Formats: sequence, structure tokens, C-alpha cells
Amino acid sequence: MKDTIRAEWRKLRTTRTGKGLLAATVALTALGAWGTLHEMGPATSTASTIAALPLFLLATWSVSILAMVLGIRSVTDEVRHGSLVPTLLATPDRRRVVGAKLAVAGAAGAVLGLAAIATGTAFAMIWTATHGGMLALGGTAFAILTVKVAAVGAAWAAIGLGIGLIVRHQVAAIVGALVYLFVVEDLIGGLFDGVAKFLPGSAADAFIGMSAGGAELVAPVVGAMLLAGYAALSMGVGTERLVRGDIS
Amino acid sequence: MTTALDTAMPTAPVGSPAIVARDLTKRFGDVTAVDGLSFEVLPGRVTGFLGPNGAGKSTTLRMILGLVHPTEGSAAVLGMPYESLDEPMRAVGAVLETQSFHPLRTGRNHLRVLAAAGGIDDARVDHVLATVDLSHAAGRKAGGYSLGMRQRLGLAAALLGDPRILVLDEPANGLDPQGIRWLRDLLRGFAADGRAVLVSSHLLAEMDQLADDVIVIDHGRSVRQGTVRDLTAASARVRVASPAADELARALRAAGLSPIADGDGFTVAGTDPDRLGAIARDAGVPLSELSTSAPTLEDVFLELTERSHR
Repeated sequence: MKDTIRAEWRKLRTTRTGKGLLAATVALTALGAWGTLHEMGPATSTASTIAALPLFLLATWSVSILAMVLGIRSVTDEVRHGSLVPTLLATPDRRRVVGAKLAVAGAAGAVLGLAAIATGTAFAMIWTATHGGMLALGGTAFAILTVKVAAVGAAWAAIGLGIGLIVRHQVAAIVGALVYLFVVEDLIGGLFDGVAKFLPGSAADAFIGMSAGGAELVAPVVGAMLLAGYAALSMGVGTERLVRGDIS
Repeated sequence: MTTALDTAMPTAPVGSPAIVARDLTKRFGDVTAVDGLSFEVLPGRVTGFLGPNGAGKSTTLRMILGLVHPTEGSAAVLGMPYESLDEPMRAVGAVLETQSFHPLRTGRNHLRVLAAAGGIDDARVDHVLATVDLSHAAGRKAGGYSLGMRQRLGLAAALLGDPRILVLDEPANGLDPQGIRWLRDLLRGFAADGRAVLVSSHLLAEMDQLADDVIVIDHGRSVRQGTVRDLTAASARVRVASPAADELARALRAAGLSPIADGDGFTVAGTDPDRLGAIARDAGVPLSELSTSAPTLEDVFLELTERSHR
């Protein structure tokens, strides 16, 4: 397993996909942070960790998207370029390949989460400093939220990995997943009362403990379980499809 | 470097087949791609795997390598299913597709990824790059490689584990004449070393010079298996001509042969010049020509596959 993980890690490091998604996470969070802080105004100058919560929400949002894309691409890049064949020739145990991909994509997703938090926090500090205030971000609450955002990154990478294993076609998988996140989840929430809070996007918000526009959320622990459940479901179906299917 | 690789191999008895396929069958829905195919690939020999496009060659190779699940039957590599091999890259090196790498990854990094997966020392990467004469391009993105360079990169990947068996699907595609000769020498040397080579190809003239044994398949079924020599010998023809053509034909038919009119003479299968000469002598028929035409593997192949189409 160690060898397989090392191979997956080398795959991530030797193309621009990982670096590109890291840069995109920083850029997306920075852009969002700039807008959010602008809206919040100088009141932030008295801020504590709690007042910085929208930044965490923002980080969660950008990480959800990009970690999912990272997970999807860890499979679909290989399908698209034909490298899945040598991968499976080197490691015929397909579950082991999936396990190694989960380990590496999950870790990378967590790193994207940390990058998003770091970017958001840096923006908030600069913003409050330039407005004559001081953002107090120390303490356990901040640390817990940081870990949670990293965990959300890992979970979305796992969900993406499962989607990639199920769909295989890169464009279809990414476009489909983004349409779900941006359109379908809202649509379901609008059509069926009380369902929205159980969907993956809302579950991640619930785990962090906040929502955009005060939408109804489940308890953080339930959010964590839902998110883990969606990751397990996606990975489970995807792994079975890879194990049972033919690579032709 | 390479000696350490020999230690962990499955201990199949010396001389036992490197690959055994037993009643391999693969159906995709209503289509039967491979139909009850059985064969053996022996160490120390190059085995050519021939068949028209769509005959089921690639599907068969993928079943041997655990990529496609057989509907029925089984395949064993060094005595066990490919999936059960402890260190598959040290057992089998395979090239199945021309493109099997991320185009933005360098050739060297592509091999380093596979070396990591196979638990193979990174030093081996530069060694195989030199073997396939790709060292100069190792730092370039593989997407910019020519077709021939891609084939060489695929071969480098196959050679990484210093395997006992090579399985190659149409490896000569995209190689120039020098490249084809280089590949032939490489594969001959590999077999001479006591290892097994299974190579599919539609370049039959090339296979004539390369293979010791051939397996000919069509419509997923085995049409003929044997050594190249036996296969071409079995299809050898004798051409015979005489000023007394009618008498010659009668004598040949009386001897149980089926002469086919061919210009001013006849072509006769299933016999040899000695026997034909004796028949003519006994019948008192003068001969103006007596020669053998040894068919190429291509002739045999076309005959076999045309027959199976009828």
C-alpha cells in the first residue's frame, strides 16, 4: 500500500493539476474574501473569531468545489490519458489503487482547506489592520474551525473521487458535479421543504456551523455524519464499478 | 540492480509455460469477442499473436493481464492469475496502447510514478530510458513525443521491472524501419535470455522474421497454432508443368492429389517435389518445370482467415 500511495503522490506532484487547484483555491477565496469583507465593513475591526465566521463559510464553499474537482481528476485524468492501464498493471488490486487515491486526494483536499483558511484569514487581518482594528483569531474555536474546513476538503475530495470512478468521462463528471452544486441542490431545496438541509452542500455548512443567508441547518455532528456518508456512498459505488468493470 | 529482481519471482518449474489460456471466452452483450481460446506461451520463445482487426487479440491480452474479466475460462501467468502475482511488474511487462501517459508529465516522471507503484528503485528508470534510447528526451513532456518515441516510452515502462514476460500489443506501430529492427533485436535478445514474449501484430512480414511460434485467431477463435516453420511448411505448394499437361493432371489425380491449373502448369498442395517427380516418372510424363513455392506467413494467414470467413 505504501508503494501505491507513493505512486499516487508522485502523480499529483508531477503535473500542474495539484498546483493549479491550489492556486485556484487561493484565488477564489481571496476574491470572495475581498467581497465579503467589503460587505461586512469596518465593523470587523472589533471582530473576534465568530465575526470572522463568514470567512470560514467562504473557505468551505471554495474548497468544496475545488477539492471535489481534484478528486474527480485523480481518476478521470488517468482514464482520459490512458494511464489507468499501466496503473492497474502495476497494481492489479483495484481496491488498493482506490485506497491510495483516497489517501492522496483526501490529504490534498485537506491542504486546499488549509490554504483557503490561510488566505481568508490573511485578508481579514490586512483588512482589519487597515481599518484600525485587530482581528483576534487565536484560541480553540479558530483551531477547531480550521480543522473542520480541512476535513470538509478531504470529504469533498473523496466525494469527487467516487464521482470520477462512476462517471469516468472528465468533462461530464466535472460539469455534472458543478451543475449539481450550483443549480440542482438549490433547486431541490426550493422544491421540497425540509430536504435541503440534508444535501451534501448544506451538510458541509452545518458541520462548520454556519450558513449563507440563514438557511436551516442540521446539527454540526449530523452534518459531519451526512458528509461522511455521502463520501462513503460515492466511494463505495465508484469502487465497485472499478472492481467489477472491464478496462478496455 | 537487475539481479536483485529475480528473487521474488513465483517459482514456476523451468520450461513450464509462461502464460496459459484455457477456454478463454469474453462476451460483451450479444457480441462474443473471444470464444473458447486456449494456448500456451513458452519461455525462451517469441510467440506471435495474429488475427485481423477485431479478431479479439486485444481483449485476450487484457484478460491475461487482469484488465478484462473473462466470461468463461481462465488465464494464468507464471502459474497464477495476474491479479494474484505479488510483484506483477517483475513478472510481466506490457505495452497495450500507444498513449498511456499524462501528456504534461515528463517521460522520466511517468516512469518514476510506475517505479514507485512497483516498488522498483528509481535508478532503474534511467537504465530503461537508456535501453530504449530515450535518455535525451527524458526531461521533456511526453505529450510532445513522436509516435515512435511514445512506443519506446511504453517499452521502457514494460522493461522497468526486468520482467520474465513481455506482452506487447502492436508494438511496431509508429516505428520507422530502424526502430522495427531495433525492436526485433530487443525481443529476440529477451527470448534468447530464456524469457517469454507474446506479441500481437498485423505486420506479418515482420512476424515472419521475429516469431518462433504463432497463434492465429479469427472471430475470437483459434484458427491455427504452431511454429512459424510448421505453419508455412504445411501450406507449401509445388508447381509442376509438362508439355503433356492432360496426362500429368490425370496421373496426379490418380495419385490422390488435387492439381489446380496455374498458367501452363499446375499448383499442387499437400505433397513435395520428390513425390511429384516420381509420379511423373512412373506415368512416363515429361516435366518442363518442378519447383516449390514456400508461402510467407502472410499467405498462410490470409488463407486461414479467409477460410474461417467462409
